[in-house]
Amino acid sequence: MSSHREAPEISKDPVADNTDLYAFVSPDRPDTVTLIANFIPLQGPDAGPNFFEFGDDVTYAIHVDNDGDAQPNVTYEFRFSTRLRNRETFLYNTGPIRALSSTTWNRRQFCTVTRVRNGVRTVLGSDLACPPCNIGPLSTPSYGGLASAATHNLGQGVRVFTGQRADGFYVDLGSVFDLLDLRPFEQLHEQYGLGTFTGPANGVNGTRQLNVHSIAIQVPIAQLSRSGGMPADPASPSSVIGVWAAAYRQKVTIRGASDGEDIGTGPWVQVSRLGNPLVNEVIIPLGHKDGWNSRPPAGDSVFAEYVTHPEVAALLPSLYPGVFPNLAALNASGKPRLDLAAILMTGIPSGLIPGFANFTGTTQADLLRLNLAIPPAGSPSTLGLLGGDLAGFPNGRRVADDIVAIELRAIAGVTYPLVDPTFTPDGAAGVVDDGVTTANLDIPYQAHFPYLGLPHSGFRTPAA
Amino acid sequence: MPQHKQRPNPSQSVSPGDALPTASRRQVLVGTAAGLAVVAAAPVIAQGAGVVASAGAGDQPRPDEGDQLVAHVRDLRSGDIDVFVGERQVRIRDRAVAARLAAAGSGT
Repeated sequence: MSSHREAPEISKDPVADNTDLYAFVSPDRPDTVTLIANFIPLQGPDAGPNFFEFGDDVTYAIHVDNDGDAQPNVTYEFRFSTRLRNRETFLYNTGPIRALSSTTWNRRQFCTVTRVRNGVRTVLGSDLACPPCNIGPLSTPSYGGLASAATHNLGQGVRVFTGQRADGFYVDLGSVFDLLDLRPFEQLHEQYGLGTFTGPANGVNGTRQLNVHSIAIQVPIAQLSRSGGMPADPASPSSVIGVWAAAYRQKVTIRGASDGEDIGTGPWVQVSRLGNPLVNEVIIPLGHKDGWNSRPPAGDSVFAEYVTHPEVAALLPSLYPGVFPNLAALNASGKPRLDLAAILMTGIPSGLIPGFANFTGTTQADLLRLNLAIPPAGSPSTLGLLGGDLAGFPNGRRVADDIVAIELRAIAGVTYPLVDPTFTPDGAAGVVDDGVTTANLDIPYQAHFPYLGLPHSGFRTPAA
Repeated sequence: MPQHKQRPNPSQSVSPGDALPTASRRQVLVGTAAGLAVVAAAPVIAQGAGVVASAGAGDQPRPDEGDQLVAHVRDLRSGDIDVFVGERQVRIRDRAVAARLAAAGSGT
């Protein structure tokens, strides 16, 4: 998946596990940027008695670099505190939760947002109520109202939401990790002589009916840009920001130190991070995934070899014999995939795609790069840049962008002509896909902040 | 947490074990329990223990750090000890203290 349980260590620590990161110019407030970092993957909505929540012992952060060195110029830190009204009941709520202030809501969580800009820390908001999880019609009878009330305006045009949402990322998890089976093309899979598949099949959304916890913040562009204003020139590097999210834990944990609760001590260390989707998931090898999660993106040049010679590019011609001959030849040439290095590690320089650039400089770093001078699309394509939509991935990432299809096709060779115009991508490279689209979502995205859909209800799980 | 631009070592707190900055020598609090030791009360001052490095939020103890700390003896023979207190990590080298912690851990 994008980054759900993508590395051995963080897969055992879901509360701190980045799952997806989004950064886009807000379609309904185009003078702002929306940044969304999701955590706590694969939540079954019927999660009682202990419903999902952020970690009080985790520092969550969204970092923004605006001058190309992969160091943060602006950071938003999010810390949480959990309060229990009644220690003598096993219930999350003792009656319907009709408002965020309902006394029947027993276990509540609150957020403090701190901005760190050029080293100066400013608390933007504290004691900001998170919504409850979506339990069911008796406990959370008007869930939409509860969620709306948990969007907080922090002044100066900043708004924030921290709480449960439907996972908007879609992927055929079951097939992709069954030796890269892609159901729409599975009859073409090598199949190891098993002869399991005889024809194409529809994709299955592995995140259907599952929730995540979102940290969403909407910020005026002028508060993030290098110039302090609204960038207007798409070709200028100063119009581009690089975004990544991370989670930190204190270095030492003492189990059961305080009435059965753990306590932490020591400096904060990074345990998870996420820039572009799927990088640590399918590009970084197993033996390096935990190390990748612990390192700052400014040091990503040590991983460049895995980007320029990706394992998936080697697997496609092997697992789908005869389908990707041109990719196989490119692999055999040993030429580095400089197209992927540009897309994922430096941004795409101007002059390669008319009207577009998101190059941030020569520092190789896995950042989600967003050109602030490119306005939201009137008719977005979920294929983003591959679909001719300059406002979509890999220009930042919007909630609906089909990043599995985009990255599969890029790795399969459709973007290699950016660096070698003589290369002809295979016909299959332009259509390869896991067969899952936004049509596979049960809950639609929203047209307004925080854009991800309301969470699935525990009562309605599994959905009929 | 990554440090912002005007700070001297941007990668320090991401992987503090890799790049601990040098600090001035001073006395530090060291717990009296063993090896990987949790000390909840009555820490003692190890006279002469040398601070070789520190990482975290500032060098001075904070009022809210309470009286709990954790000492991790990294190498008994060299006396390398990491002390975790509040949001800080201090590395000292003191073979005598390491030996006392080891003795406490073995119940002697």
